[in-house]
Amino acid sequence: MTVPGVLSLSGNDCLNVFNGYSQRLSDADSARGSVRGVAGPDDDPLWEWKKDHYRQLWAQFGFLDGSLKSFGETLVNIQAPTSLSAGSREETLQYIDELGHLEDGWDGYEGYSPSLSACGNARSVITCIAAEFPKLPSPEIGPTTNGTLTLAWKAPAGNACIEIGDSLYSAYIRVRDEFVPLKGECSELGERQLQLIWSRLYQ
Amino acid sequence: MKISLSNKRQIFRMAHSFFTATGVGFRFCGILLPKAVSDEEVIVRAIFSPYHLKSGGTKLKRDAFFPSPSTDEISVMRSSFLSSDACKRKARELESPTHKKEFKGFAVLNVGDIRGAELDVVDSRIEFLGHGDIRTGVSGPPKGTPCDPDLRERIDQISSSLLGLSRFVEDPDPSAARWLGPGLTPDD
Repeated sequence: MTVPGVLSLSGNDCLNVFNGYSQRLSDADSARGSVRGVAGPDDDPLWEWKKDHYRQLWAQFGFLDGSLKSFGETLVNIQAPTSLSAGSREETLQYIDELGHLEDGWDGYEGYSPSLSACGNARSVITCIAAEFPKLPSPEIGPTTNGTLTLAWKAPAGNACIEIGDSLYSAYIRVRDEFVPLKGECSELGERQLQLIWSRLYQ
Repeated sequence: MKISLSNKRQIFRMAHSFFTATGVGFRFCGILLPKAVSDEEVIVRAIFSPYHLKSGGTKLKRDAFFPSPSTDEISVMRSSFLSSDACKRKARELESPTHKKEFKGFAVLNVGDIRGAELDVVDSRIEFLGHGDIRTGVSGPPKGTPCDPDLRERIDQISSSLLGLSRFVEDPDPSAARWLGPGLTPDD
């Protein structure tokens, strides 16, 4: 679950954004991104050029519920995550509680439900984020099929994921070629790991 | 003599619908479905809300492609052979609206594309005739245990790459017994 904010860009802003992200975009794996259901105007001589940039933007932001919308006055509409405000923190904690009530097979297949202790551990992390890292964007939270929960962040700089189990956690931070692995007891999970995510992805 | 995929499909579908209706000779039907999954085939994965879809309900999350626990298998149906109606019938057997697990449509993928991403697709008719699995080559840990960090990243990468290769086709009427949506093809 993300708590999205919306950034709407006009035509000129869009070009500025493209220029602003040009370095990062050149590193994006554009082949993986694809723009589906978006048709370009036939008479736009720059369409091929724009499409290429949209693809890269999609690859960069698609994970964030990103959507590329109309090509009229609003060229691009990107939904970016916001930090955990008090309201969204409650909403996030409520969502975690909801995950604690899943039953085996929740995914339509054979997925195990997250245990109450895994959900309790995830709640502690969210509480820590809200208290100590108010500017850290809200992670995307989801259950995995083996009964753990993941908290994932994706930023232009890279991405990070914490997987929380009954008593153990594992995590990674990926920034280009740099890979930072972390793992240990859930009781040790908190400020140190979140500080690493904050500093590597957002500072 | 080499029989084309479309001819094989037609023969299988006729036999499948006949044997499904009459309930006899199902074993014979299996002979008509090749065990080897060809690159030209299209496969579908049934999508259920809410955990396979983003908040708007129209876009897939990569979670839709997490393998079954402690395996490297992601269940799919061989829609080049099974009809859209048969795929939907099977999908609806898995749903449970009382537990907020509702069938919403299919993620459609091309087998050749999946193999291009260094994954495999195999027949697994032990589940039911027409069932297959995407094999990722990466198995998860036991229940309640997180993956090692490098394994977690690999699983996330695989799920993201399948997400990028798939097309979500939403069911316009999930409650209908038959598939009333557009054709289950990987391209728009």
